[in-house]
Parts: sequence; structure tokens; C-alpha cells
Amino acid sequence: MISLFPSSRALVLAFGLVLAAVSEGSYWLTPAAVAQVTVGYSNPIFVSSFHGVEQRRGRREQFSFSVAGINVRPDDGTLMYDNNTIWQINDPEKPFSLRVSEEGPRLNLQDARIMTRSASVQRTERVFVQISGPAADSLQSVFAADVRQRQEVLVPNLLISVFEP
Amino acid sequence: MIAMHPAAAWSQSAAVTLTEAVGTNITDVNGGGFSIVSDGSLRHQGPLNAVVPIDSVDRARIVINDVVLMNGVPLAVQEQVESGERRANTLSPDLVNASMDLGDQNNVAVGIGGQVPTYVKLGGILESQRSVVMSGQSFTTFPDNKPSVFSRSILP
Repeated sequence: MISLFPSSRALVLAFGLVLAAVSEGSYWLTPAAVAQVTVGYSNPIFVSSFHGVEQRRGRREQFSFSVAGINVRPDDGTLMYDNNTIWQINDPEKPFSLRVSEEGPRLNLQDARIMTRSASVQRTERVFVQISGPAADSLQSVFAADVRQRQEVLVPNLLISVFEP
Repeated sequence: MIAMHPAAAWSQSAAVTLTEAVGTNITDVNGGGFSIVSDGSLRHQGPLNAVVPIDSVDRARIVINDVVLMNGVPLAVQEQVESGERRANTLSPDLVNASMDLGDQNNVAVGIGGQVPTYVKLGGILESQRSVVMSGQSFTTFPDNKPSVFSRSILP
């Protein structure tokens, strides 16, 4: 039995940031300098589970019958014998031996039950930036070019762990 | 102008697998057998052996770490009982009336042995396995082309 429960969650945040380039000596907005920055965020999560039960059964039968005798005979007087034959001593005055081994049958039974359960979760968090507008060409980085930023800026600590929500 | 700038991506995954196996392995022999050997001193006129039907079978019991894997008669063996196939090919009870003729011998030789129909092997398996796999990866991309809200120079 296989069951799959995909689920996804996507959250897209978008906001517009209107940047205005302020012309030197003037506080009037210049229409040609407007740019829009859109930040997108997605966080799809896929969860799957599996539950399987396997049953293995085996049965093997082996029949065997062996007789080794000296100075013995079947009690019905015939020379035919099988595993139901009753034996007697042929000449009581002489040594005799009789060995009978019967496996009717040797039965080998194997039974195994294997249960498997598995669960997995996977998520991918993605942040992307889209810049549009007439002033896109003139937009500069919000970070200083010569200053190395702290690691927290590159990898925000607001990530949601799949192990500890 | 529209420019797409993939800024960052993080990926995490985890998987847990639990496997449990329970099994038994039983070997049973029906019929059995016997052996009887004499140097001629054994005096017995009757039958040497008898075929005796068996109407019940002992339980097979398999326990591993206090877990009972088997406690009863296997179905295939029980079917032999119900169908009348279960039996023992064994020495005759009439042998209790046999006598020894010592004559002028100083010693005699008689050998008797037997096999009974029963289980000859009882085995079991009890296995549990748990596997946990976790992985994660992340990457950040800062494009060279302007405009960008990130600076190329801050890359590690």
C-alpha cells in the first residue's frame, strides 16, 4: 500500500518600493527616476509518507523412506514393502538388523512479515527580487560597495526549520 | 526595463524510515524411524515395528527477547493430524515380550534406537531498523549587472 500526500505552501509577498530620486536643490519628484522593487518569497513544502507490509511464506515438503535390513522379511510374506510394512525376523537363529527411517514428509515452513514505514519532508525557500521602472538603470545597491556585510544580512535567521517549527 | 535577480534559496529535507521484520522458520518430520540389531540371541516371533497414528502434536514455541513469535501447532502440521497422516513408524510394543537366548555365549549384542516424529528445527527472526537522513543546502546569487539591491562586493 502506497500513499502519497503532497502538499505545498507558497507565499508570495510583494511590495513595491517607490524610490524617488531627489534632484539636487529640489524636492520635486522626477517621473523618469521612479523605480519599483518587488520582492518575492516562496516556500513550498512537500511531504510524503509510505507504509508497506510484505508477507513472505514458504512451504517445502521432502518425502523420503529408507530401509536397510538383514535377515528380516515383511510379515505378509511378500517381497514388496513400503512405509506401512510390518517387519519380522526371518531366521530367529541368526543375527539380524533392521533400520527404518521415514520422513513423510520433512516439512519446512517459513513465514516472514516485513513492515516498512517512511516519511519525508522537503522544502525550498526562495527569495527573489524584481526591479522595474524607468529608474531601474540608475538604482544602486543599498549596501555600501566597500563594506563587507555581516553574515546575518546574507542569511536571515528567520528561516523556519522543518524539524523545529 | 524589468530585471530578475534571484537573491537567495534554501533547501531542506528530512526522511525517516522504520523497518520491522518478524519471521519464523520451522522444520518438522513426520514418521520417524527405528533401528534394531541383534547377534541372534534375541528371541522374538512377533512384529518388529508398528505404525502408530498420532492424534495430537506438541506445541512449537519460539521466543526472542521476550517476544513470542510462535506458540502453538503450525497449521500444516495440524492438518496432518486432522487428515490422519500424522504417525510414528516405531518399534513394536510386542518387543517387551522378547527374550534373550544366552546359550553358551559369554556375551550378547543387541542394539535398539529410534527417531520420533517431531520438530527438528525452530528458528525465528526479530529485526528492527531505523534510518534517519537529513540534508540541507543554500545558495545566494548576486548578479553582476546593475541595478541590484545587493552589492557584488559583499560576497564572501
